[in-house]
This record gives sequence, structure tokens and C-alpha cells, in this order.
Amino acid sequence: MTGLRRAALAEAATLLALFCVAMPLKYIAGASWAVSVAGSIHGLLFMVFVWFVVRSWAEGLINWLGAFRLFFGALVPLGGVINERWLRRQSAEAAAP
Amino acid sequence: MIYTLSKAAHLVTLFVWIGGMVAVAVALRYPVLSFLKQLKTYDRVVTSPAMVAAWAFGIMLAVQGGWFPHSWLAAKIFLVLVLSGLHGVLAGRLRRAAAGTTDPEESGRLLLPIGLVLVALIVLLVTLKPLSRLDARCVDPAASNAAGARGSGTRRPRRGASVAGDNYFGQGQDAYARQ
Ligand code: HEM
Repeated sequence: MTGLRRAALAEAATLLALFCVAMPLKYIAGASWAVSVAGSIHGLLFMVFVWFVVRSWAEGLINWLGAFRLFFGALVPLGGVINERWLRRQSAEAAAP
Repeated sequence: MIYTLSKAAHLVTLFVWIGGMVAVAVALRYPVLSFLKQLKTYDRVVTSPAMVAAWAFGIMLAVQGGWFPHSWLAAKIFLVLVLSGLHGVLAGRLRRAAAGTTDPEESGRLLLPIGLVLVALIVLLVTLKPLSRLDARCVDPAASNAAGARGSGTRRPRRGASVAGDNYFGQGQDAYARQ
């Protein structure tokens, strides 16, 4: 669960960096390299995150619904942050018998 | 040079990744709890990072060579995603099995052959580079002139050129020339 949560957070953080730092740099300051760099880092982390979702599903940590929720949440800015908190609550519940 | 080195790195990381996947598939088939636990760590620190590195080097190759418009690459990326998903399923089952909570599953038997068939299809796609018929937009002379900065790597390989070898060198030189 820790890996999945970290991946969710990293995905969310790089998506926000892309929207809040790299895109203003491109469209205001004309620095299109910023989007290329932030975009490729985000793209790779997005793939890592989706991979963690698949693994956690196969491990039985989350069900189909949870996997869908995580995947679609990751497409929206801040969705990943909300999902990370959801995951944290879930693992707290699982830990408390 | 950078292209060749990227390719070498792509191949090395691929071997490590695929080797790790085969190990997990076999270990799940003949489970030994202590080994499963070790393998879980190995998958985390070696196999999974190798997978991510193989993706990264593959994408570097595609960017440098201007391969993205080619249909073989689209098909390859689709199969790579399926293969990565398969690794996710194997790793998930491994982690569950290493926790000792489940009985060995019959249903996992097909995962190894499915994985090996996927690898074979991926390698065929990248060596034969088929589907060029679908890449008509890559031959449009106007388009390839306009491609300019992208380089001539987006040009469609000559039809009827002796399959892989000729295309390979044609395209490979494009990639070298651009450095
Ligand atoms: C996101 C994932 C991947 C991308 C974007 C990608 C892309 C590429 C590109 C652009 C090349 C260079 C082709 C050339 O110069 O002729 C290449 C080479 C190669 N790739 Fe990948 N690849 C990926 C994953 C994989 C996987 C999973 C496998 C095998 C299971 C694989 C097997 C190979 C092989 C064997 C070569 C060398 C072919 C040759 O030298 O002719 N790749 N890849």
C-alpha cells in the first residue's frame, strides 16, 4: 500500500507542477522546454502509478472499483491528492482490527 | 552514438526485466515461501526499476529516431503496456503469496506462456517493422520536407526494399546523421 500511495502522490505532484509551473513558463515566458521536461517526468511517473494500481489490484489490496477510481482520479489535477488521502484512510482501517 | 548507446541500454534493461518476470512466474508455479519472500524484494529493487528504465530508454529511442508516427511502434507500445500489466499481475500475486495467505493458484499457469508470446510479438514488430502500409502520411513529400527539424526518420521505408535489413540501415543512418 505504501508504494501505491507514494506513486499516487508523485503522480499528483508532477501533474500539478506541469499545470502550475511548466505551463505558465511555456505560455507566459515562452520556455517550451519546461513542458517537455516536466511532461516526460510526469508521463513516466503516470505509467509507474498505473503499474502500481495493477499490482495492488492483483495483490488484492484494492478491488476493481478502487482501481477505476484511482485511474480516473489521476487524470484530474488534485484528484491524485484526494485519492492519496483515501488510500491512507483505507490502510489505517485495514491496520485497525 | 547516443542512439546506439540508448539501444544497448534498452536491451540490457529489457533482459533484466524479462528475466525477473520469468523468475516470478516460475516461482509462483513451484512455490517455496522463503524464496518467494526473497523474490519479492528482488522484484522491488531490480525487476521493476529495470522495467521503468526499459520504458524510458525505449521512449528516448523513439524520440531520437523520429519513430513515433510509425504504426509498428504504436502496436509495440500497446503490447508493451499489456506486458507491463502482466508484470503487475505477477508482482501482485507474488506479494500475496509471499505473505503466505493464499494457496498456490492454478490460474497462474498461463501467465508465463502469455508473457513469452507477448515478448516474441514485440520483438517481431521491432525487427520487421511491419504495417508501413498504414503509414502513408509518413511518405507525403510535403510532409517529410515540412518535418525538417524532426528529421527524415519519419519517412516511410521504401516499399519492396528487402524487408528488415534495408529499412533498418536506412532508418538507423537517419538517426545517426541527426546527431
Ligand atoms: C515504452 C516501451 C518501449 C518503447 C517506446 C520502445 C521503442 C523502441 C525503439 C524506438 C527502438 C529502436 C528501433 C530501431 O532503431 O530500429 C527499440 C528497439 C528495440 N526494442 Fe523497444 N521499446 C519499448 C519496449 C520494448 C520491450 C518491452 C521490448 C521486448 C520485450 C522491446 C524490444 C526491443 C528490441 C529487441 C529492440 C532492438 C531492435 C533492433 O535493434 O532492431 N522494446 N525500441
